[in-house]
Amino acid sequence: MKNRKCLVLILSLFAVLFGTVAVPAQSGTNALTIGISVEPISLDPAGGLYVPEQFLIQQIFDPLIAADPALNLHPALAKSWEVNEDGTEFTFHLREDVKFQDGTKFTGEAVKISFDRAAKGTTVAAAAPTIFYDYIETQVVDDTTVVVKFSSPHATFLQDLTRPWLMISSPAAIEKYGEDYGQHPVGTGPFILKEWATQDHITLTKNPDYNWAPEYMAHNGPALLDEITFRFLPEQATRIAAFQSGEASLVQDPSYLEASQMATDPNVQLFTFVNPGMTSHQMINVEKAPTDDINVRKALIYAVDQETISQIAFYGLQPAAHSVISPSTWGYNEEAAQLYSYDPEKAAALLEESGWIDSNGDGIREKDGVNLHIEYPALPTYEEAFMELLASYLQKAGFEVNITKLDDAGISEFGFASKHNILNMGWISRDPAVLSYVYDSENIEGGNQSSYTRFRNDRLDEILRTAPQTIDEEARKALYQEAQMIIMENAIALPIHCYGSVYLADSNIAGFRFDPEGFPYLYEISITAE
Amino acid sequence: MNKINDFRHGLISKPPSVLSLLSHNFYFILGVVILILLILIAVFAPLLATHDVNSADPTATFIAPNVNQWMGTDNIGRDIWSRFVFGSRISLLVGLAAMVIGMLFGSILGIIAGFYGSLIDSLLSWLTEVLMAFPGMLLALSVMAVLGPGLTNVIIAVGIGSIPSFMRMARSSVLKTREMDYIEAARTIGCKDSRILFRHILPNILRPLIVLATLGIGGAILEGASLSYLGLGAQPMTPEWGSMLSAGRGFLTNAWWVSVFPGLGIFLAILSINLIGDGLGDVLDPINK
Repeated sequence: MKNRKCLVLILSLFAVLFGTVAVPAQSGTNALTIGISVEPISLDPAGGLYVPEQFLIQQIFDPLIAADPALNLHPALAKSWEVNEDGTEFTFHLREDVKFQDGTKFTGEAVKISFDRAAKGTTVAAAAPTIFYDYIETQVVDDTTVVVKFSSPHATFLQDLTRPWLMISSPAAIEKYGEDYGQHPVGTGPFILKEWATQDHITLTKNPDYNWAPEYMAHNGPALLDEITFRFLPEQATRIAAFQSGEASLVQDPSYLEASQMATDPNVQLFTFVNPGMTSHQMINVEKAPTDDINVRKALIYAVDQETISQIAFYGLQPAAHSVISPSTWGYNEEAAQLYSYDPEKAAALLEESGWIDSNGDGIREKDGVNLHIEYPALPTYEEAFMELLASYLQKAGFEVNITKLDDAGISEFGFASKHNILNMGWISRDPAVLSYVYDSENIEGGNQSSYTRFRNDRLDEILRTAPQTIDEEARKALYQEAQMIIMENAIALPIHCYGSVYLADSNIAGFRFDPEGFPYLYEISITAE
Repeated sequence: MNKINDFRHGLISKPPSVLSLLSHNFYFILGVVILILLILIAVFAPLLATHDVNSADPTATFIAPNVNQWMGTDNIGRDIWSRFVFGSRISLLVGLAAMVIGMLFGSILGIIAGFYGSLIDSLLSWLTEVLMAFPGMLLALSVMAVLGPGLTNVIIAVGIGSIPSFMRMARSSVLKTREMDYIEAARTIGCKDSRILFRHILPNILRPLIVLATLGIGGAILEGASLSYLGLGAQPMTPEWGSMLSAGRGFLTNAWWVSVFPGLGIFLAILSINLIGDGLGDVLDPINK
């Protein structure tokens, strides 16, 4: 009898033990693991530049103004705002009920400190100083009112504010962590940094106090997920493997071949998004022969079948591009995109008109004993999928193509020395203003030295310099549409594909929706019971 | 007893010739057969290739091996057999050329170090030890980092990486040989250093160097392919086995043939050369005689 009592006791003890074990396991099902490609360097909004940083920063931080997927502006940390007539002074009225994740209160002083840091940038690569090129100062009128001043009309500022680089940091945390703030970010966002295991993962937990979601979000209050783990899986194939094994239930940019095949599986959801900004295109050098001849440049564009490249190299997951700007960008000019379409016969005619004829039957056209030669420096990270296919199209048209694989620094050096005929460029951005980074002729020798077309056109330069200061939206749009036309008419860009964001998700992931730059709103995501 | 008999009959039993010894070595023969096949493929590549190596056909991607495309097609519809055939030229060339560089410079340095001794020897041996402290691949990678990518640079990098082993081998052989009586004799009758080195010493140290070079070719092919796999060697469009293998790695579960055939090529080339090297080693190495 006594023994039996003992047994009952032991059994109930077991029950309690297993019971307690079972509880965290259950809440664990409300945790999401995401496979991402690149580990962030700094999660300081004023220090970030790259895609992984953007994705994480916007979970931890909030902007003054937020953009919904259709790019409409909504109040976030700022309740309302006014702009002066010149477009040089922006006044913001801030929310009073917001707390940083370290418990300190959000005030106008935090905005000033965050913007002052952003204008300087805290890393060499930081994107924020480029946005704040004409920033003068932020005046704190009182705890809930700030005025941001620029030296010239800053037409894009309200849209710029919605981007991660101008999100608001906790002044207390900046002071506490100093130079290490990028590893210990503290914002007002729906998720809090919990753990950063270098070269392995970053874990975020939900911010239980969060109650200031922008109005276009599906709910308010704390996020639906308890915890998110971002695992760094640099290889596409590893990300697919992690997804297939259930290690990650959401993966970014998986192998396109497998992803396109898995799209038909009812247990898998595939999400794609066409990124705005510059498309992935080859900038054509107008100073180096043979591409100094506009006929040769036009022939290059006519010789390439972008639709097929999209299918073969990207399994349709990165759509074909026909202009220097992607169709999802504000101010996209459809007319410029219709100037060229795949037409090998037209390419041949243009080349013959310029005297390029294959007289010795080796498949390569010559003129005065010189081969129709194209120097193509390539960065495998971005171009591996299509570079050989692109070259084969050019070969079919009678070009001799030499591809040299280089790294980032090698490409810049090659391009600055004007040794290239074509060089890949692309820039994801919400606004066509990015065109000035690489198409303003000021950037050929000076500036960022990235104007690899080496194309000098007074009208194009004028547009690219005046448009960012044009406050009237319609006038600004017209300027950028003209810019796209000038670029395509002069055949200095050979469009290849639009950048696409591709995500694979388990079928139990609910609430997946893209933000204007192709990242999911993790705040809205939940995991449904299967 | 036998010897006396032979002598009486006017017959001196010669040691069996190198060739007859080798002809009894099955693995050596196997190696030779495979290598000859690969060399034939390389030499007659333009005749054997059934398609243009670089003409992509977007309508025929990832076709499994069949009667028309013996090794199938790759991700942009190029014929893998044709690329395999031309790839054999590059891989064999890289192996051979790298070994020529390694053997040439390694032997010269080794002979100088071994023959002159003293300070030159200490200096050169110290240098080799420094080079040998780095794993071959790491050394090749550092050389590539300086020279930049490209096939010629791969040959140079792999060649430089093999210099130390040739130098050591040559040096130790010279050390043994230079104490021989006939060298003393040559010196006594007033031969110049250069004559002693090239007429008397070099022929006597060649055998171990040849064995080393043969085995080294296999390693050089592998290293060259590895560098191309990493994207440092052959540039895009070049049908090189290492880079073909690398290009197919993303499609292994869908299209095994894109990677497997170039991998098989690398495997066969290295296997055949190692079999030949082992066979030669058994026969030529003085210790095994």
